[in-house]
Amino acid sequence: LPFLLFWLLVWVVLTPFILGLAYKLEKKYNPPEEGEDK
Amino acid sequence: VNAALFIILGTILFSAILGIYAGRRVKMNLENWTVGGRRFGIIIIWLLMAGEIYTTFTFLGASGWAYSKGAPTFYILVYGALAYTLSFFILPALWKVGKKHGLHTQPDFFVTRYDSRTLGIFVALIGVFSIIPYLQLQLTGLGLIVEVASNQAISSNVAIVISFVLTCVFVYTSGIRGTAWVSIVKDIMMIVAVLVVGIGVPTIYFGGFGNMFRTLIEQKPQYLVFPGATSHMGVIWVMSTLLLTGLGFYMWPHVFGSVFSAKSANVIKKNAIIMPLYQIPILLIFMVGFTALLVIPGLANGDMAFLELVNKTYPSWFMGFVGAAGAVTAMVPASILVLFAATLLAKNVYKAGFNPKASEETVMRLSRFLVLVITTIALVFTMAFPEELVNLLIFGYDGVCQFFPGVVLGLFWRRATKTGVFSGLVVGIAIVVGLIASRHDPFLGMNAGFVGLVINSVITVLVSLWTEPKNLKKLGTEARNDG
Repeated sequence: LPFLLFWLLVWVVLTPFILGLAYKLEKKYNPPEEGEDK
Repeated sequence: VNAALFIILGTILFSAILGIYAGRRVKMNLENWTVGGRRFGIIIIWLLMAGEIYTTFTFLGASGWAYSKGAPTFYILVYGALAYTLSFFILPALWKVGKKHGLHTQPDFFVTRYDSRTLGIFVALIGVFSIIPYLQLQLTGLGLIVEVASNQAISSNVAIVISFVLTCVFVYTSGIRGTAWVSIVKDIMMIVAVLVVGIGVPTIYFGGFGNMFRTLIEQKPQYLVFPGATSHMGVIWVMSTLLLTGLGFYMWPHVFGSVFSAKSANVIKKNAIIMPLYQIPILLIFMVGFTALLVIPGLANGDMAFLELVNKTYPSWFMGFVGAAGAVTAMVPASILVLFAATLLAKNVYKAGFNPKASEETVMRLSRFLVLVITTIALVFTMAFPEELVNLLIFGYDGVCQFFPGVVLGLFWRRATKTGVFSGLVVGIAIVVGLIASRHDPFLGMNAGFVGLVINSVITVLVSLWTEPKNLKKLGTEARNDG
């Protein structure tokens, strides 16, 4: 892939992984309240 | 051609039947019709939101931009990643407010948060004004795809009328559930079409992506760096457009409304995590545009690149499959656009402005009636004035993005006031209209909508600090505290 397109694609691919990590950290430090969907 | 015709008409009919079936056994009140009873889980929410992203623009526009503009097209690949990241942090708070106050639409949020029916009516009217040209674009795109894919066996106008009458029927009967179910057909067909064509054409003509890009760089060395084949879409334009579209993505009334249909805030978060992966097929659509540039150069209309290349490369039955996928790709976003335009007018303009005592049943009946009216108006305009409304679309995204400060500050800043938001909104919209009408878009290299958004945000903050928040106790900042 061309340089520019490659890095933009890396951005798109890394986003779900980083958001997934943020989600796990959030769950670890802020467990869902009672009755809230897990 | 007969096979293509059969596939296209069969798919349109099947989708409509599925959409009607979706509403079976559900008692259709306003809550079920507009937000699916707030019971949608991760898969349906994903399909619904993906359904709103992949429109006819993806088929025709993204490949067309790659064909005629080059590198500036790349913003289409990444704005979603920005939008979903923001949605991870903002939308769960919005969902909680929606659940707590029983909100159905975007203006409902403004009315509840800022205690102002006038602001709600203003937001609703801007929303409808932005939705109608977007709807018309889907109609035009559908007609074009089906006409070309069927080798003129089905004329554009016939395709538009058949598809949209059927769309109108399933929206009328099933509401947002119909859209969600038809999204399943649409997503499967679209992914198959994009994978086959996106991987197929560079491989058939160049032996793979690497060779295709090497040939493109040899022939047009500046094509894959900014500003590509354009003179004005440089780095500043791309960055400002990326910010504008990323921030404004969830400000479209129909996208905003579908957030309320999730069964929990957690569904919204999980959806934000997986959505960026759905952007990757867009890369394959770019590949089609770049391959078309090398194989069939000199097309007068770049938007035809995808269809022309498929026509040249694949048998007619596959062209029929692409036509069918294109038709459903227009029907899904069109259905939710009609649904929310009708609800905005019935609930947030008619009820709020003219008949505050109207019951929910009356609003529901009027919304359904307006589905028929809006579809008819869009059909008539598409056939009678195809150019005028498409020109208004330029305003659409820039216009809805101006809601961003009112929504985000409303959720996370107690001091945001109705006067502040109203002032910012009016100035932001005026700047956008002024810059576009006077042909100053881009302005200093920046997207006009972004210029409007920056000034709008500053004014909203300054005026809010200067005025007294009236409903501080009423709504408080439950989103901030809970979220």
